[in-house]
Amino acid sequence: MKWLLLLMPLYAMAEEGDDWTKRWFTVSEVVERHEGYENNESIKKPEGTWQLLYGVIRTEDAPVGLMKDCLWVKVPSDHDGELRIIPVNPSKTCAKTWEEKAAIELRGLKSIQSLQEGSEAKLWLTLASGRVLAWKTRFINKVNERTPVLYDSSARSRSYPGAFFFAPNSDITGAKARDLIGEITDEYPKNLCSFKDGTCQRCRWGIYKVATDYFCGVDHCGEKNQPACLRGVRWQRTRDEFSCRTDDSYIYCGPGLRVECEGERAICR
Amino acid sequence: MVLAFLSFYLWQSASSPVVVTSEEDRMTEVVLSAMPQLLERWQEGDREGKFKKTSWACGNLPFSPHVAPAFLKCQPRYLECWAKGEAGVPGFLSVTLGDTKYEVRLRKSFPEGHLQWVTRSELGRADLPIAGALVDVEVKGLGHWPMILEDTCRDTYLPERIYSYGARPERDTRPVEMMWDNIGRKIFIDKFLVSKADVELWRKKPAPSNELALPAIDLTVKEQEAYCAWRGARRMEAALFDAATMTPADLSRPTPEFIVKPWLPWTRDRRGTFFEKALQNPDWKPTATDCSLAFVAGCEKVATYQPHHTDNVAWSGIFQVLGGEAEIFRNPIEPDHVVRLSSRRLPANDDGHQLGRRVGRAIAAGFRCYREVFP
Repeated sequence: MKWLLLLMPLYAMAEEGDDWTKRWFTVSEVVERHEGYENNESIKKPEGTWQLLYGVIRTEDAPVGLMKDCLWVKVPSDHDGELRIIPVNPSKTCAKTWEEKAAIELRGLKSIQSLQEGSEAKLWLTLASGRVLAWKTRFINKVNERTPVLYDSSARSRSYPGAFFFAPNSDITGAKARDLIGEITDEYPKNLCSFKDGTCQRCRWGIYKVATDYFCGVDHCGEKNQPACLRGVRWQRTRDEFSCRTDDSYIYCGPGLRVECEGERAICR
Repeated sequence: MVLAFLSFYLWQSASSPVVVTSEEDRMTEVVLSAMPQLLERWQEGDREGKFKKTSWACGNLPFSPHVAPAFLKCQPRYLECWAKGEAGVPGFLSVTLGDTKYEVRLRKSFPEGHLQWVTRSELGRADLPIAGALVDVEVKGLGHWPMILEDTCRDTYLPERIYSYGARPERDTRPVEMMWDNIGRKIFIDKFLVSKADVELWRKKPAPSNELALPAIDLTVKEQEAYCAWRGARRMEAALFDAATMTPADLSRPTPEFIVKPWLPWTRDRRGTFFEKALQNPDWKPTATDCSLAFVAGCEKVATYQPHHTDNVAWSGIFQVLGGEAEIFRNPIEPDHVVRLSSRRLPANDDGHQLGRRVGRAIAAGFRCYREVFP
C-alpha cells in the first residue's frame, strides 16, 4: 500500500501537465514574449525574480470566448523556483500580474527550461526529487502571419491551414459569446477602436480606417458626412503621417462634396 | 523485491518524461492524420465528378444544370451529401495508424444534420474564422472532435499596385478616370457573385433547390451591405473591380507611370474575339465556348448559365466578370455609375461588353463582397 501512496504524487504531476496541455490547446497567438531567454536553455538569471516567459491568447467555450494566460516563472536560486499560469483580461498586458490568482501553479522547482517555437510549446521542470517533468502542447490554432500573394485567400494561415479546432470531446452548445462589439447600424464616428488594446480585433461588422484611426463598422467612405476615401500612398506629397490640414492629396470625396478637416481626419461635406 | 522495483521505477521516471496515453490522445492522432483528406474533400468538393443527373442521389443538393464544379467547393450542402454517403463516394475517411485501421466520419451533431454554417459575427468570438462549416469529426470508440472548416474558397488577394479606375478612353469618349493604389492594404475580393445558396445561409430561409448556384439578385443595397458585413466584408467597389479585371501590362512592375487599359479581361487585343466577329457579322451566333467566356444575349439557346464556370476569369483570380448577371457596386467616385453594363441581356455586338463601362441601374443585378484585412 505504501508504494501506491508514493506513486500518487507522480500522477498528480502528470495531471497538471494534462491540465496545461488541455488549457492551452486552443491557443491562437503567442504574445509578450521574453526576448532574453533562449529556447531550451535553463533559466538561471536573474535569480529569485519573477519573469514573464510569454503570454498566450486562448479561448474558452461560450459565453467567455477570448482569454489571455501569462506564463510566469520564479527563477530558481537558493530558494526553489515556481511556475504560475495567470489568466488576465485579453485587452490587458501581463505586466506585474504574477501575484494574481493562478490557474496552474507549481512550486519546488530546481530548474526550468522552456521552448516555444512555431506551434509547439514545451516545459522541462526539474523537481526537488530530481525528477523531470516534460510538458508539451501543440498550438493547433496558432495563426501564422504571412504576406499574401496572388490567388491567396483571406483565411488565416494556421497550423492546419483551413481548420479551427475546439477542444477534443467538447460539446459545442451554440451559446453565443460576448466578445464582439458594434452594431451594424453604427456610423462614423462611433466605435473608435485600437489594435493595441485589442478592441479592433473585436469588431463584429468589420473595420475601416480614417487617417491614423480605426473604427468598428461598415465603410461608407466618400459619401456625405463620412470619412474621405483613400487614394493611396503614392499620391501623398509629404512623407509624414497623414494629416488633413497639411496634405489632403491622397484622399478623395464623391462628386459635389468637399473635404473638411476635423483635426487630422478628412470628412466629406 | 518491492523496494527494488520501486527504486527502478523512480529512477526510470526521473530520467524519462511522463508520457500520458489515452483514448483521447489516440483519437487526436487519428483525426490529425485524416485532416489532409478531410480538408481536400471540403476545399475540392466533387473532384471525382459524380455530380451528374443520372447518378446523383443527394436530396439535400439536387442536380441542377446551373451547377459548375467550383460551386461544390467549400459548399456546406455538398459536404452534408458526402457525410450522408450520397455524394457518389464513401462518406468517411480511412486512416491507418500502426496496425489499426480507423474510419473517420462526421457525426450528426446538429439540428441541420452533419454540419452547421457558422460565422464569427454570429458566434461572437474574436478568435474564430470569419465563416465556415462547424463539424464534429468522430472516430468510433475513441471520441469526437468539433472543428470549423474555414471557407478558404471564397476570395482572392488583390496585389498591391497602382491601378486606374474607369473604362479605356475611346476616340469619342472621355470616361472619368483616376489612378490610385492599394499599397500597404490587404484586400481580398470574392471570386464569384454571391449566390442564392450563400444568402440562404445568412437569412436561414431555404432557397429554391434548382436555383442555389444562381446569383442573388433580389437584395436591396442595404441587404447586400448587411450580408457582406455578416461575413466581415463590404460591398464590392467599382474601382476594385476595374483593378481586379484589367490585366496589368507588366505584373512585375507594381508602380507604373501610366496604365494602358484593356477592353477585355482575358486579352489586351479585342481583335479575333467573338465580340469583334459579332460586330462584323450580323448573322453571327454564339457557341457554347464563347458563352463560357461571357454569357451574353443569345447564349441561353446554346448553353446553360453556370455562374461558377471558371473560363470567365480575370488576371486576379475573380470570375464572371463579363456577361452573365449584371453586377452592382458601391462607387464613391461616380455614384451614378454603379452597375456593370456587360450582362446576359446585352448582345455580343454591343460595345457595352467592355471593362469599366457602367450605368446607373439594371433590371436585376448580382453583387459580390470584398474584405480588407488589417494587421
